[in-house]
Amino acid sequence: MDTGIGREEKLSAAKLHMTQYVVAAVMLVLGIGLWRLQVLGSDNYKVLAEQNRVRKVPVLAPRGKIFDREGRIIVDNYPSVSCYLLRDQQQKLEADLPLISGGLHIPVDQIEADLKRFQYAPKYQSIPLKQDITPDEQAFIEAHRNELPELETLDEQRRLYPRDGFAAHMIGYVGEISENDLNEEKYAAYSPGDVVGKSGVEEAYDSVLRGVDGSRDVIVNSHGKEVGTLGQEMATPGKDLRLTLDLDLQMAAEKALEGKIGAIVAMDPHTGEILAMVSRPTYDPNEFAVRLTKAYWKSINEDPNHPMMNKALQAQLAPGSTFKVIMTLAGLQENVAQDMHVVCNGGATFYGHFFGCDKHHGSVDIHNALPYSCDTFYYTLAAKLGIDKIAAYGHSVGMGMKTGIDLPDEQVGVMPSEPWKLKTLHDKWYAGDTISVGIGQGFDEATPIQLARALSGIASGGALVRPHVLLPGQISESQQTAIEQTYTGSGAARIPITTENWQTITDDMANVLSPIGTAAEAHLEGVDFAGKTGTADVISGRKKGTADKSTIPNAWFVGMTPRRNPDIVVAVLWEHGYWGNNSAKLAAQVINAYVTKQRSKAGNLMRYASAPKTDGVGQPVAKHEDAPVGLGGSAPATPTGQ
Amino acid sequence: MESFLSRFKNSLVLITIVLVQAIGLAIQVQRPKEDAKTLGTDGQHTTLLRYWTVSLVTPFEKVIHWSSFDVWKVWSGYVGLRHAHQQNEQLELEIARLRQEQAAFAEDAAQGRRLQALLAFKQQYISQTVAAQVIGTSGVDSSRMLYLDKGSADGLKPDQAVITPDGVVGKLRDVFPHTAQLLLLNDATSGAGVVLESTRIRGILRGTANGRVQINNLTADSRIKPGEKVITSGGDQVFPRGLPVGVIESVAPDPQHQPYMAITIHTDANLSRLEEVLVITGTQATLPAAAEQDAALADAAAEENKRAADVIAEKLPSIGESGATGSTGSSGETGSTENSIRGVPGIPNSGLPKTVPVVHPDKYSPGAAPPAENLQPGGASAPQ
Repeated sequence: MDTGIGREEKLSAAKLHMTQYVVAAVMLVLGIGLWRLQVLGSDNYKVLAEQNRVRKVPVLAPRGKIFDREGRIIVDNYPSVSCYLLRDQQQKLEADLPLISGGLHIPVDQIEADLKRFQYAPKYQSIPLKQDITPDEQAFIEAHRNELPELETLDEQRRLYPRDGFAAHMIGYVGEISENDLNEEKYAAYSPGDVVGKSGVEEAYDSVLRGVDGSRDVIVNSHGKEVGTLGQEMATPGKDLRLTLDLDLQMAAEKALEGKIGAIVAMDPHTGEILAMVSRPTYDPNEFAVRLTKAYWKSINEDPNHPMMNKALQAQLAPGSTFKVIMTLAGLQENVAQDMHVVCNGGATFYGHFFGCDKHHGSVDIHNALPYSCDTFYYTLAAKLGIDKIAAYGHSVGMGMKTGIDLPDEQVGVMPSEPWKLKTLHDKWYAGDTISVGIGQGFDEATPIQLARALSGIASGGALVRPHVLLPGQISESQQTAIEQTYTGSGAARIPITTENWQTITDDMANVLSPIGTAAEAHLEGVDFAGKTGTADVISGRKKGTADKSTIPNAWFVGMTPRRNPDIVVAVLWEHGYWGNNSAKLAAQVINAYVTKQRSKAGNLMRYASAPKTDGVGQPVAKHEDAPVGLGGSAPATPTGQ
Repeated sequence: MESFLSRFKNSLVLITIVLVQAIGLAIQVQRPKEDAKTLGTDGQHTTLLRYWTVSLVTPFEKVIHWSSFDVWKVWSGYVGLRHAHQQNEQLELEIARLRQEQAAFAEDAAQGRRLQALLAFKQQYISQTVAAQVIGTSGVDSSRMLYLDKGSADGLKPDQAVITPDGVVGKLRDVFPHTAQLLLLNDATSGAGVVLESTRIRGILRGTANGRVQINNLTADSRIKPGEKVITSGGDQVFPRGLPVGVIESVAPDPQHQPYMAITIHTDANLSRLEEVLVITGTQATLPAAAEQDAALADAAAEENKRAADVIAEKLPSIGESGATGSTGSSGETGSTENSIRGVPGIPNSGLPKTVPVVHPDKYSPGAAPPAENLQPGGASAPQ
């Protein structure tokens, strides 16, 4: 006791006062702090608390469906449920992982990897755990809602594409937007996790098809449990689109290309409406709609035949003899070809080089040059015209330019010319280069869609169209303008062709399918079928007696009916299909489907008349060659061109 | 009094602080891990404080429940005593009759089981149940929860299904040593996987805020009608397969949840008046392994077929092997492959199709094309 009093006495009054002031100061600071929190910051914190209480749940807009020109469905949606993981309310995530993993059939390390991937994302953003879950998995989530409040399900409309890759290249597919895409300007309005069209119509018309997502303001309690809804903003469904595609023709084209590599494109040359578009090999877009498996991605990525490539727009290959139609146009319009007579002895020598022809055609003029597909005639014509004139006519019908079809990633092909060679190969043009160009070899490259537009445009007297896949009148004018500005190309154009020349070229093309023509075998009884074959050497050149299919020439055919102002043009590319007339038969299948359908609509078919099974359908078998029809058949006599 | 307070001021303050800290700790601290392990498979998030409170309160609740029950029993026992002798004679007769019946039923049951095995009918048999009394409610209107008089000491674990002889009631939520929480089917956080008995359509059952039970993940389907029986699907890993849940009471479109229907279920068990329930503590499949596999395969196949995606996929065009043209609605005249002639050997569909003869020549017929001088470039292919 004594010591205590003594200690107290030792404290000076000044020290005691100091202590009091310090305590008062501390209290003041604390008081101010309290006042700041409770009074000044109250609004701010209230908002924060509200945000905690109200959660925005997205309501995803169903994507527009896709129909064919007659309103038959091609792409539909189906209701599907996805599971998301919320992170803002659950600290004990690790303890729940085994249960989640067992119920949703996802390995624990995959969930952990997902968590890691999203660890820097804002906490309120939920992590997609599993898409398209099964009813059992959904039942598991619902039955464990009290233990696993962090699991959330979201109803979605998922894309469903036709099976077997039917029309897959034209329609395209959707997928989650990639981080690279998000940095691009055209995806400025998109946010991570959005589903976006990745190719074909899905990409080109994504903004029309996708609609606008809505949202629901959900009131949640402190455990994150939904206790009510404040309000909701309805989702605006995406617009359904009708394509110019005709399912019947598409079906015929799909069947025609079965088991082959290549592309078929059918178009209405009056309007540019694409009636069918097939590319082979194909892929299954449904594999992309849910999470893509590594195995599938590997299989299509490593396929040397590029299943993802839309060969109708993207295969840039030597057009071969189909280019001779453009040569004929140039020769006639320049008044060079009219009186040209060439004697074909299996080739000719130009500038010291021998250029071969596949047979001895004898006397050839403008009326049989195209049906014979006589290389010697077109070598001579090319030499007379010169590359500048050939390139000018090539450009005028859209060679070396995109057509402007409303589908992404169209390729330009090559229309060789002096400036082109200087710019690309840094080499000057040699006169000998022109000779190969005359038969569509050498530097010449074209896509099936370019040839369809060019040759049908010539057959239409010079009226060239812009190919397109959307039936007009479905989108606003500004959207239409935006599409046209995005997919620029040669588009609709008019080139002058005299009436006589128009008559000559179209009759020549019809004669290609006559008994004297290269595609006599593809003659369709009762149909005014015209066109031009192309047997284009691949770059490595032909090799005799080899089993390697990659050296077999590409078979081209561009056919149409009727011969002038055609209603349909079909371009066929059969890679390593050997002869152009093999492709001509594929085109004939599509043409026949079209004509039969039109005649059926007009009631002009003898339905019950059993067609007599005459072998050649009243058609003499082609006499111009000893018919090497098989792919592994005898090798052709002389390599042409090159 | 004052002197007491002032005298023990220090120790009182100390005790108060320690107490407050203990409570504070109890709020934060979750139950120990080894404890959780014995109680359930998952990480239980029950705080110590709640654990203590429930443990403290329930003995009293039990005493009150039983004492009221006992008082009633004593009273009714006294009244009943007067007729006891008469009743005894009647009852003995009754027992004899029931024993006979029981033997017959046992035989029937055995036969039923054999038949089910023959049909490879997959069903999880409930092998173990624990009977429990309802001793209290959660006391909150918004959450439909009951307290049972059995707990982990009796073998109960969280997520076990609770039934009555009528049908499914709910599942266990938190389990304490001598009590357990029963989460009823009609609580808003409840859910279960179910199957409509005759159509085999799978749905998800959910409780609603106003205490009803609904299926709300099915789109409009003409096969779903009131009166249809609903049973558990077993997919949710809580409720064993094949337990009766209820019957469909009404089917109506759900305006809040656009493409889906709100299907209200009338539960077989009366959820608002529950006294005795059975907790399923063990299930077993009585089928031999091979039959089990068969059943699972058949189930998987059936479920595959029922996915919405597949139903819609059939409406989409496809090349297919046969009938493909039918699916597009074409008239079947579009160059069928059997009619092909002169194809490349070994390559499918590489031949020439046969054309169908026409009644009269049209613009596609040979020779019908007018000379160029009569045509406009890009115009109609034949002058009108």
